[in-house]
Amino acid sequence: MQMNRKEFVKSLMLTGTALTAGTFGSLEVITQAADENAPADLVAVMDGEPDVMFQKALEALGGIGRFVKKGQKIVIKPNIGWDKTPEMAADTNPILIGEMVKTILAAGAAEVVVFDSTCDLWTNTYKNSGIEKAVKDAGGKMANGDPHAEGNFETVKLPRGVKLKEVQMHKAILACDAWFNVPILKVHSGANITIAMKNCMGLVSKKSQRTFHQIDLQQCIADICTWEKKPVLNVIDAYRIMKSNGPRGRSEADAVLTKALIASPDIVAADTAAVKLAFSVTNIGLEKATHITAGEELKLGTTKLDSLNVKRIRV
Amino acid sequence: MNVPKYVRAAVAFCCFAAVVLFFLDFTQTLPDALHRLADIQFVPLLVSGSLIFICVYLAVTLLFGRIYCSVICPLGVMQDIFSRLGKIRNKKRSAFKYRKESSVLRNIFFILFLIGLADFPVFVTLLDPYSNFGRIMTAVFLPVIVSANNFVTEITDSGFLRFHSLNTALPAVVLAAAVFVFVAALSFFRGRRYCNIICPVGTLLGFLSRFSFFRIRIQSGCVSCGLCEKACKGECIDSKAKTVDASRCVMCFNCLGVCKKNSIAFTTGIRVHPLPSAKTDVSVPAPTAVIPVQASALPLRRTFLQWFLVSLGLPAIFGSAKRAGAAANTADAAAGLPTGVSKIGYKMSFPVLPPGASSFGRFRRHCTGCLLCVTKCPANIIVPSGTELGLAGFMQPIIKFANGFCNYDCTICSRICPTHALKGLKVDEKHATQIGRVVFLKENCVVPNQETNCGACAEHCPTGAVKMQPYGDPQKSLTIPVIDPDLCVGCGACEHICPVKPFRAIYVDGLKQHGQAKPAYDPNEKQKEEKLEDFGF
Repeated sequence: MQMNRKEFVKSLMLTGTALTAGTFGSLEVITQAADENAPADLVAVMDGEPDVMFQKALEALGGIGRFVKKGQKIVIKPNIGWDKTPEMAADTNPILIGEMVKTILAAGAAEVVVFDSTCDLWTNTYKNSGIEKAVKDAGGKMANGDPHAEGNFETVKLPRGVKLKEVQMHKAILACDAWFNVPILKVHSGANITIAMKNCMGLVSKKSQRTFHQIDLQQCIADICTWEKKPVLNVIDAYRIMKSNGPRGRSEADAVLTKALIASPDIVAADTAAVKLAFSVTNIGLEKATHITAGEELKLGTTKLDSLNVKRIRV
Repeated sequence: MNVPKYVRAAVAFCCFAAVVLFFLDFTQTLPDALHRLADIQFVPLLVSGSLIFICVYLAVTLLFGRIYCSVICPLGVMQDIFSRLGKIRNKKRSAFKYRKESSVLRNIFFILFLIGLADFPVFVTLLDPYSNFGRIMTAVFLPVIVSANNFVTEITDSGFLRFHSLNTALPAVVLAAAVFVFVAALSFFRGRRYCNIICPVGTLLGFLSRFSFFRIRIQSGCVSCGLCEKACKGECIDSKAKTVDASRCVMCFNCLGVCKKNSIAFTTGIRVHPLPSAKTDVSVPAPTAVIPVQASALPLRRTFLQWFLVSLGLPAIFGSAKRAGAAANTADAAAGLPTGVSKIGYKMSFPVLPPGASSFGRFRRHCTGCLLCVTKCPANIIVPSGTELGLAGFMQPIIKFANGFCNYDCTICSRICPTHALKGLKVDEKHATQIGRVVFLKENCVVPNQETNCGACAEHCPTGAVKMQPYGDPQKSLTIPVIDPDLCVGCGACEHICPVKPFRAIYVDGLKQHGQAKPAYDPNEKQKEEKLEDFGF
């Protein structure tokens, strides 16, 4: 759907360009004008606080109404994998999550549920990441994040998966009308880098997560993203980036303060942009993040950012 | 109104309820400070060498008799509940009657307990009333309650309840269930018989309570009607002989309210004017009115001497019993996937002991297998041992990483251990403690066998003891684990998450003597702000 709409807009733009080339004389002027009015496909924001950058990005994407309808049940899926404080940058920034809950509820959502299928003890990660408090203060709910509790999960099929054919999916995500994928950008000992696509691994049980590692981690990350219920928006927290010893990190020195954020409905494009944004600190390029290129092969999105309407904002 | 009885019952109920709730609090919401109620149990105080508290208990017993047994001891209060139930069910049949002391059995169990204290922990483990109660809670009631919770959560689908994992070990369930049925049935029909035959604490305190200053005494005016005898849970009142065996009296005070002649009282032996008879017959000053408690000094002294000699001699015989050191770690059954199958099995040189155990020698002498650490471990990785620590270590807890791993910043097991078998660790002390060392079996690893990325072990390692380094063809950007066991704290995260089966490619081998882990990072290193030059795309 997303791609179709995009292609449609693009073709319209091209037709318009061809028709009006004579009148306006320059192709550049036309695309520039179209960019400013049309909602962006991908936004990168820099030099702001997490909540401010999110609002800037949302504005450029066409507002919250594009993603949330009144009365919907919404899930936000951050990375809350580790029992670490926000300064350690192992979990998504709690200020960003709190701001998102507030914004989504203000847009008329019936409820906002936040969860992650965690690595460290879920009660501790919820608490020490600051996310539980941020969500509750903003009026949202936390769902059980115990990755071992079978009752939290239900088996779903992945007909488009190459190697991964079924997973135990968290019930909260099955019950929602729409969901937001909100990872934090980190280097990763297994997948080399963890951003939006890798964050989807936190939708499933520990047993399923182990299967990922068992059969082919990079391919399985792409496969989980083929699940029919795609996130309406991926918001990548790059306020701090973990540059070493990821994804867990040992000390604050493993992260750097970069003050950036990327948002896009296209999960592959969002990850591609994030890899490029962080390259100067992580030294990890697309060639190492093979789950992203595998995602493109599965037609989950595009790594060709030039083909999209990209907006870059400095606060 | 029988005030002493109601005061006793009220205080006992509060202590009992708090201990029960603390053990069964699977949501971990109650304050950890409640472990103080486990700390003040007699045997934990004894094995942890808290002499001051022990002296307090001994002094209290010398003054007032076995108050401990009726108020503090959770197994004792549990028996009171069952004997009450027995009474309700059949008033006539379950009426108690005086029985002679089974002194031979009592002494045998006490001797076993002393042997256990000296160097054969399993006897202490099996005889300590608090630890038995702890196991009943942990291995019988907790699984039932958690299962019920999960069932209700499943059918109601409410946001209020949530699922909890079960942590059960068959040997503990069998033992605790058997003890529970035995003690419950015994108390249902026979009151505090368990406390007066098997329980070593009852025997020890009973030895002192023979001489206690205040105690239950039958005074003049008694017509041997037998009402007090029928009410006596200890079955220690002989109404015909008008005697009370104070060594078996647990100070429940149930007898005080039933006497129609007011001839039974909780009183000192010194008091010359018996309270009720004073009304009817003031003229008789009666030191003779107080009937002395039946206590023959000679056999008593002899049995004490026997205990003493035996406690010196026998441990030497049993002490030489050696424990099996090795324990094969049989990983859970394979999931039947074609990939991720490991080839090489591994033998652990020693089971992993919980943090704070510091050394096996120390740990085994202190631990009584109450399993409080098992119920409180949020990761469900502490399990009561079967034979892994040898026969003498039966029920002492070890760590297995099948359900999870030891959370880096968690110290709860070491903080709540009532016997100090696990010494309290602060978070930074725990970070520096090595409870096991990592071992890598490349032959089992996913990366060389399948040429796919994995890195789950390094991902979970909190210290960098497991890291990934480039492997094979650079085009494939594969990485393989490399280990530095000196950095390892033995948390088992790598072993738990390793995806290959049945044997993991990485595991933690236990240590008889816990070691020191090298610092994982420099705490002085601070985070840098790094302004990104441009968007990069």
